[in-house]
Amino acid sequence: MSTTKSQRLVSLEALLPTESGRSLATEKGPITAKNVASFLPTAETIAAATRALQAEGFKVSPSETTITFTGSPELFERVFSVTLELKELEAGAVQVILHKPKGFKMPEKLKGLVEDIVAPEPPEYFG
Amino acid sequence: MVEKKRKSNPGPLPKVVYAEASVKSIGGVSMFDEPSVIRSDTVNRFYSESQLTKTAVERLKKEGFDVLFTGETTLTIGAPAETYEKVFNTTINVEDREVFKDLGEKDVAQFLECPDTAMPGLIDTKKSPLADVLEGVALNEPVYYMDAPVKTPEAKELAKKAGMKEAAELAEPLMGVSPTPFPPPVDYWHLDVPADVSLGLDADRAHRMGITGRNVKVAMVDSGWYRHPYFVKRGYRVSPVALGPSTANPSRDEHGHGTGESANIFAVAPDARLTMVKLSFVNSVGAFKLAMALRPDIITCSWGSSIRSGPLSAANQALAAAISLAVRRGITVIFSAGNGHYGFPGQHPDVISAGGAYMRRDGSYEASDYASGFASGVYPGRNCPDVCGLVGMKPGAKYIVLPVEPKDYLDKILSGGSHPLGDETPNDDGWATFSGTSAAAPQLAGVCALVKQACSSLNPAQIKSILKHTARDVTTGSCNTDSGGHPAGPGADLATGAGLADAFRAAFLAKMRCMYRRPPVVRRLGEEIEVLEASETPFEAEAIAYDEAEAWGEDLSPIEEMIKEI
Repeated sequence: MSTTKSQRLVSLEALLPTESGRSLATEKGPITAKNVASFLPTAETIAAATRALQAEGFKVSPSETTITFTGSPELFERVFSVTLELKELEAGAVQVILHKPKGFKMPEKLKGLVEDIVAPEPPEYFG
Repeated sequence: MVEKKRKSNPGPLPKVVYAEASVKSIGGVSMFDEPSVIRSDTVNRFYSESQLTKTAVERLKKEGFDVLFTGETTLTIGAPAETYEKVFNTTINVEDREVFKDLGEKDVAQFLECPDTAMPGLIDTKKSPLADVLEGVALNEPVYYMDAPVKTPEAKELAKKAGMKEAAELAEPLMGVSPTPFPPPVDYWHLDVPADVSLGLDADRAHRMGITGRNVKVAMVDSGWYRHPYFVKRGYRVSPVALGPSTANPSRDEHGHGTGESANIFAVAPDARLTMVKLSFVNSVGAFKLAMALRPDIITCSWGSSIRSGPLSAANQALAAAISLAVRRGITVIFSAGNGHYGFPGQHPDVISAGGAYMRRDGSYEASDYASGFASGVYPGRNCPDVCGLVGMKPGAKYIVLPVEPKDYLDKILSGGSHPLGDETPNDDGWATFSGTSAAAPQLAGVCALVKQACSSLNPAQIKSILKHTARDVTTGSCNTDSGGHPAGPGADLATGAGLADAFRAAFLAKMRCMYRRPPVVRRLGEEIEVLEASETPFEAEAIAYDEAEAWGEDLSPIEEMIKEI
């Protein structure tokens, strides 16, 4: 891994299991204000997942929907056995591309607490 | 006092100094005194008790600091250097140090330094009145991981045009640079902020009714916000920038997009309060959620990606869920529809999808051929846009002269040349001409702020409904061919949705909605209006359940009739 990569901090989103059993990771239909409640994890799940990710060394910003967690690419790669590719964009910005191995499994310590991890796609300014 | 080896070259201190204040750690050892490396298995020791953190926040504020972010381990704070010096009984100097920027580029950067401590950038808190809650304050250092060199052929070409070697140069230090609060004169048809945008959206008349967006909070998720004299001289209200995930430098907008487009909000709602959430390309979901956590009335976003059909990725579903929850919590969310894109989240059913109409020199309108218009392939039955703001035409939509950070990405990249290829402004003057549906979204945020001031009890669905019902129909032109090139015609269409937003009509209708649950039944008798049936009771203080309000929100015809009568 290059020195440049190790100096960056990146953040991903953790998707959490919900009480209803519905999942952001697998839902194919529209999620709107009318049905979003069934995609929300419980407060206990959010707290437990927050603690678990913090224990792994991530800086964590929980919310009612998903958890934003931040760390070095190496930390993500070590904890989740994934590869992060950093791609340079305009004006010095970077995109994080998350490569999961075939048959990706959540680490034992996070099983049942974190359902999946995702890297948001880089947006484009519409200006 | 500890003597440090340094290459000292004291320069002017920045107006605001940012730092990380560490609240006393639960492990009893300061993170600044810990001899070993702080690792994932030991970091827990450096968290702080939540009550102590709360106390620290209150006392820092009392001492004159802005507390920008409360984290698990530190608080991000900002204040003039003098405040730090007074509270912590110390001195802050500026030093030049050699640094290696991205890919090994050697350069000199300015660091803030406190001479009393051995650790670089650390302020000792023991001599301060905050000694019982803080274990140390670390001054922020410049970071370089975002200053990547120009890589792609397109970027190289743009960089060449801007007369520069590398993209890193786009974020030069700003010392000594002071742009004018007045836009530069340019010799082509364009709009200036605030006057022309306000006029084009019919906001002037709302302002004269006393509706200016006062006490309405708007959050914008974008590239950052620079304190341009354009904003300062006009006394616009802007809270400190909130740093989204993987962003730094809250006082800088290296790109320029956020600073420029934010001027559109104030052109329509000059008394609204803006908070910019700085966005990186790394995690837009996290940035949006941060905006939501600020509990604004309105969130406006001028970005997205192009998605023609579903299903959405898990990451985009996460963004959809955050948006839906924001709307359910009563926050009005606006997204740009795109510039030839099938914009997502601009096509999400809960957002106000912002399209574009072009105002000609004679004041007439047509659909912007730069803005998107499409039927969503992700959400069946969803047509975009809902309503339009003012957007330029192809090529490039260089239409509204906007304030940006001098020498930033947009200032340079759009500069020079002849319109419409260039914007005919210098590359370092802090002004650039652009628009796109990026301009429409904050304009509509301004209209929503007026509506919200006029009737604070309205929910997002009602506000969207009011904007659509009061828009001016755009009947000529067509939208961007990349999204179908649909023609505008009488009534709602794919090119412009309901048409160009009308701030006065929207604010007026909102005011009426707040006054009456059901309008009175009236009959005109010559010059007199006879009230046949009185209105129902005012409902402003009533809480309205989301679903009930949404159903109720669609039928505005009785009130529109009353407006006609009046």
